[in-house]
Amino acid sequence: MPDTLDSIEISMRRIEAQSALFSPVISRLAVLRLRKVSGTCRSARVNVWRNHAIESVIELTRPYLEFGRLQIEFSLSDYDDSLLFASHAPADLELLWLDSTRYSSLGPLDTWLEWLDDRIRALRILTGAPIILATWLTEVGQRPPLTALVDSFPGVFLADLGQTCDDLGAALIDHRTAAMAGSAISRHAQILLARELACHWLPATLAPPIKAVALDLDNTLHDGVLGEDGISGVRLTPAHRALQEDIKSLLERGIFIALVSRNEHAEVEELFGKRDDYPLRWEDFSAIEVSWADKPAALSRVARRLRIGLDAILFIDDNPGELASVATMLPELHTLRAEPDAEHTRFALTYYPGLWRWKTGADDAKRLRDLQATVEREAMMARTDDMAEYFRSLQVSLTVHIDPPDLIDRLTELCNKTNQFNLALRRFTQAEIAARMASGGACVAAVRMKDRLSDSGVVAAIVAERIDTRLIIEDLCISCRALGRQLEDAVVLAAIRAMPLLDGCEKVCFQVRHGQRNRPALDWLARLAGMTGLPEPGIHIAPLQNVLEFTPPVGVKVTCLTN
Amino acid sequence: MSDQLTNMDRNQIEQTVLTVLGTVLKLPFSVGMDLRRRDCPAWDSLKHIEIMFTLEEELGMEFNEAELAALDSVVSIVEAALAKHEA
Repeated sequence: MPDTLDSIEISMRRIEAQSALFSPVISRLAVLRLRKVSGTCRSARVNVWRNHAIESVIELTRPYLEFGRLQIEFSLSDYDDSLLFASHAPADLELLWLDSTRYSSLGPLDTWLEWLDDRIRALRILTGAPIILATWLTEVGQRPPLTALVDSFPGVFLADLGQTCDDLGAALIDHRTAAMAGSAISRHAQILLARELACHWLPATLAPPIKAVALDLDNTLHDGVLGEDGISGVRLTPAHRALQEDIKSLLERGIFIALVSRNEHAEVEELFGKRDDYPLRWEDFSAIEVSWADKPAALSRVARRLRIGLDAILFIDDNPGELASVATMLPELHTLRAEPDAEHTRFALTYYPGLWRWKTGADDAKRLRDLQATVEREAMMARTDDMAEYFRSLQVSLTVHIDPPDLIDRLTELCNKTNQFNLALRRFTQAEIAARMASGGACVAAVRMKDRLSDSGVVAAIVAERIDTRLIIEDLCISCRALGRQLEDAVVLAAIRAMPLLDGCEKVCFQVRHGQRNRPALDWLARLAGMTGLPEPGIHIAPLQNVLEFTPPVGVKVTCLTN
Repeated sequence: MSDQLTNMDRNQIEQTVLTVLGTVLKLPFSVGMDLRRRDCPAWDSLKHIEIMFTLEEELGMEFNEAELAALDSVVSIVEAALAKHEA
């Protein structure tokens, strides 16, 4: 059982911290004076290579990082305009914190960009970890070539400090302090950049993403209580409208939304049917739990329905007691308090660590339609004993892509987000995926899945290397949205068979690592290799003929595309 | 003159300065103390800027470059803030 007193205390401190951290107008003193929000944190090490001071910004990131359950050890280099990466030690992330104006003597922008390109390549030789370049250019017109340079590297991201401050209406530079503080970043910019760093840039690179937002209804999505004020009596204030619009926009980024409310189900459905001024519609919710049952149980059902972990859900409720209860029973769940002023809730939602993404791909938006299709598929499967007919009626097609450079982002995402069907939990970085695609001795396969109900996009990543006459499967991940369709064998074995590296191999070996949730992948390998129990961590040989003689199920079309 | 400063007297300004110093330097301070930078190793140039930025926010005023460099004790900061208050 969780420690009840501690959980409640943590929950209360989080509510207190939320008000200070996500106020529309942030007080530096209030942020610095926050009491520690203890609890479990994910630890990471960040190397900072810099030519100006970052200490004041780091100091301000700490309360935000702690709120987002991240504990970062920053290792700061000396000031070094030349970026020599002296005494480089392994880290989870490399942060280049550069004042670009210090290079103006180098000449035109192109010269600096060439130098920067060289330095990023030099760092990439030292590490496969993600790299964030945090800098600014004085002229807006100079930004596109810098963006293009960064985008040309897998696993490198641009934190444009100038653009960020422009977007937030703050001045980036304050020349009063440059000489004394070692940086010209202004007072206002320091706190805003600390918030971006701690709530957007670092979590998007280092922490598992939030995949769903579960929402209470009364005094959260509107002002008032449905059971007391009635359908026409609950108030959609301008701030609540804006909050609902923000929540609706999450759908475009592939983030599920769920409704978890203590109310009469029929009355809530009627509310969404009648209140056409509400931006959110009943059908926007991928999971609905409206009853008088307790919320921890309801949230657990939401996680099962959405096929995601509780640690991938952010729950928003106005009732501190409800939040404390949920935090006690489900400590891994993320929570936010819906504030009386919905504008404050909007800010907290905008900056909640783990919701922001560096990029949103086409596969993100497919996730929602896929979940609806899952319900229809399960009903179809339950009605038939003839799987061939089932596959034929669904018009299932799998497309295997070998070493596809345009899918590096998605493949990296699969390696890092997949927990259940992930055999070795290698968590490859973009740079590592790109290196394997470029290597003659390694191979990366992506598998797209589509049927007449939905296009699931790329649902699997298989990373392999050839050692002598063995094909070693370094990692094997299938998105949870593709599981339960009786297609796991087809996805994996079709991909392995399509790998040119398989030619001449005498053995296919699978690397195995045990995690908290990867039992489905372990069960699959045990069945493939004819084991009686679960495979132990290490390397396991599977019969080669199981791969070579594999034929896709009748009714499933498989296509292979080699880059 | 800022709204924050309008109704502040010397004691309130001093209390604000001590609160900010105590928070940034993570040291206990009490009214009447005249801490000086040279006597406090933790009060380095980076912390000094953090202190001054936080004070600017709390007092609703802005110090110029020369003041930022020269204000190196509780008393001098309070005097400078009062002078701006009365200006």
